[in-house]
Amino acid sequence: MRRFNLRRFAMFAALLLVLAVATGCVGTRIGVSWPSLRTIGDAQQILVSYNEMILKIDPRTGSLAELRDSAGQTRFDPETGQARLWRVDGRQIENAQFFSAPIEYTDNRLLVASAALRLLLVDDTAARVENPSGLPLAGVVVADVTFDDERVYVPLSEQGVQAFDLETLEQVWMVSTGNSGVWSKPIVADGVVYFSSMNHNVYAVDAATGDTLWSYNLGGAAAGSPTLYEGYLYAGSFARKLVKLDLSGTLVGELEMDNWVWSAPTAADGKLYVTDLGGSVYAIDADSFSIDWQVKGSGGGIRAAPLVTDEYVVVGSRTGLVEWLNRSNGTEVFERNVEAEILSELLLIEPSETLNLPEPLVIVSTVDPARLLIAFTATQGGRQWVYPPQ
Amino acid sequence: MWDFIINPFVTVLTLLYSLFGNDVVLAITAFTVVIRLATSPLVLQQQRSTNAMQELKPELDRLKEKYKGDREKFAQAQMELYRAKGINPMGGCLPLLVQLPIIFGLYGAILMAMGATPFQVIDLSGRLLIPGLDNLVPLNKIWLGIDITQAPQLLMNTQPIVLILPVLVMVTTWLQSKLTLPAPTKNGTGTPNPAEQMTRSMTTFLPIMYGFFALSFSVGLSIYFIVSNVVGIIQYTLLGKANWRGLLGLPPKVTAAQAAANRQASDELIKRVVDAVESKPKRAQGGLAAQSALSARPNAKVPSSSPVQQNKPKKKK
Repeated sequence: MRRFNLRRFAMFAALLLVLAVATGCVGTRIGVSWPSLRTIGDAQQILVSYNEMILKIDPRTGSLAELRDSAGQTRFDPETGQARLWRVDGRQIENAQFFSAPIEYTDNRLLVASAALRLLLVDDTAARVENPSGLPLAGVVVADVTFDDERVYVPLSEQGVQAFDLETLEQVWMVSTGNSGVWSKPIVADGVVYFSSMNHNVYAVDAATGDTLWSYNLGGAAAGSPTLYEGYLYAGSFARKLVKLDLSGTLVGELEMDNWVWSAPTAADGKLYVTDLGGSVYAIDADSFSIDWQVKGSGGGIRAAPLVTDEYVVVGSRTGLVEWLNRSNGTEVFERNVEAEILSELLLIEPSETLNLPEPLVIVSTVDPARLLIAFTATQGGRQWVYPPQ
Repeated sequence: MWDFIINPFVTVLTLLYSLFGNDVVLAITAFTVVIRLATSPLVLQQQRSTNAMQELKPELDRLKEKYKGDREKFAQAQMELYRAKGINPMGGCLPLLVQLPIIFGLYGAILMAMGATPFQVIDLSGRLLIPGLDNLVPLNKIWLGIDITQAPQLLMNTQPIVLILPVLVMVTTWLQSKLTLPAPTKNGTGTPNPAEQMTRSMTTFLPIMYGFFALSFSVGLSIYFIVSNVVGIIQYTLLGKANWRGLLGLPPKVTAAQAAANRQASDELIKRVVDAVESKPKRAQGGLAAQSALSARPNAKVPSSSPVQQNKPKKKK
């Protein structure tokens, strides 16, 4: 009798296991968002925030940067005698998660918004959070913050944008966008903050007061940042459109896209380069607002904005393919496969004699922590390093 | 893996959302009702099979007693019994297996359509099969002031009212499983049937498990569980399959005449099964053992007189 019962229990446990496995395969993934990258200082060190970690990576070697004191001297571990490495672990700060790269706040201090509703100050010389309890934020942050000389502007994924005084870190204003918040970095120019919202609108807000100057309904959710270029604002949306607005919020032009536009348009030399989640890349003449060329990449949907170098338009796709396209006609020049989904913005590291970097690097980040960063030469696509080392 | 089912489901759910004035809870409710109704033939078949198996329990117990120590004969008798009653022993599993992809698809579609995080929304791209539905993304996830993409355990500090949902999930799951249980049977010794006891203990375990799921997963999923259970209860009741007497602790409504008739029918059935089993040529001593022994020797051939071969169906000429 006992054996029979055990068998029943085993069958039931197996059924539960099958359920667990199958529900794990329904396509919804655990996690919130993808890594965010930014370079810091003349040394162009790469700050990358992803899940519970913030890392600083040396662009020459692709290894964790060494901790340096305020005099620039390497700090060593007194016990092991080895150089201490730059790493912030959110698990030591009540499970803080980071999808927003830190910004330079003051000398040797960084400011970072955590997804756990807090604004944290990080001592750059010790990679240590100075205020673990943090300054409270009104919502979750899944995109980069931006700042000007006076304020820092924090996008909140379900509320809007919150502005803080850069000196006192006290709230100056907050703009609500309803239940659908801001999933992309705001931009600030000439005393106006521009941001797109998941509530379908793009906003222009007075940077000092937070007063809404105007808003424009894009017809679909706007998950990517707008781009300000030569006196016009360009914004894409899930309505499969890219719009051109003047700085009073009046529609100047509208272009049909093949799929959702999540990326911010990249502007260079009179052109706008845009991607969509169907995998298309567009080159658009900014002046006439007409499409110069459109190509469909071979790597599937493209979330991130294109990276424009002197010769190429570089795009990273959801299937892990990085493609170098000819800037003049969009033909593919070469491609590299990083074998993991690319959703983060690509980063360009400029050549530097002091860093002993003879040519520019393209830094690609994937959602796979085992292939967090991959560096390629911008001109040849030669793989330089991978972090963490394979 | 489930894209072939999730994509149409997400599309229909989003379409319902637009039809119901951008009310995601009404959309989930309508969608669950539609799916439950569409799968009701499968559910009924599964229930019918389970009930039939349960009803045969006394006969099986008697046969087990009769063929105590002869597992081969008991297996034959069991198959004869199923054949006599026209039951497919796997009949309860197949509908369940067919329903599983639908349930997983529904679960995935609800989670995906609500798009609470950038990851979820980007995974939603390309799944909406009807042009124009893109403009509805992300769906309005606030219902009665509650963010339905959040788990009740995250909201209970600020909105304790939300705890009513896991409770409702538990109650409706318990009610549904209790109502679909057939009346209790007793084995030969008059004690409750252990297998049945196990099934009954599941009616306690399952609601707790689902309650835990409801507490840990999004509010939207709780709504799906509740609606699904309520529709199930209504379905079973309308079809006369719900055991309300059992729920109230009342014995099955069987008259003495019916009981006697049942007993007589059971006796006749047992007799037919036993006759059928006994009339079949018993496999030679060591029939299966011989087969096992032969299979252990790869080059061995089964002799033409072997009962194993004799039992094979003859080829048509």
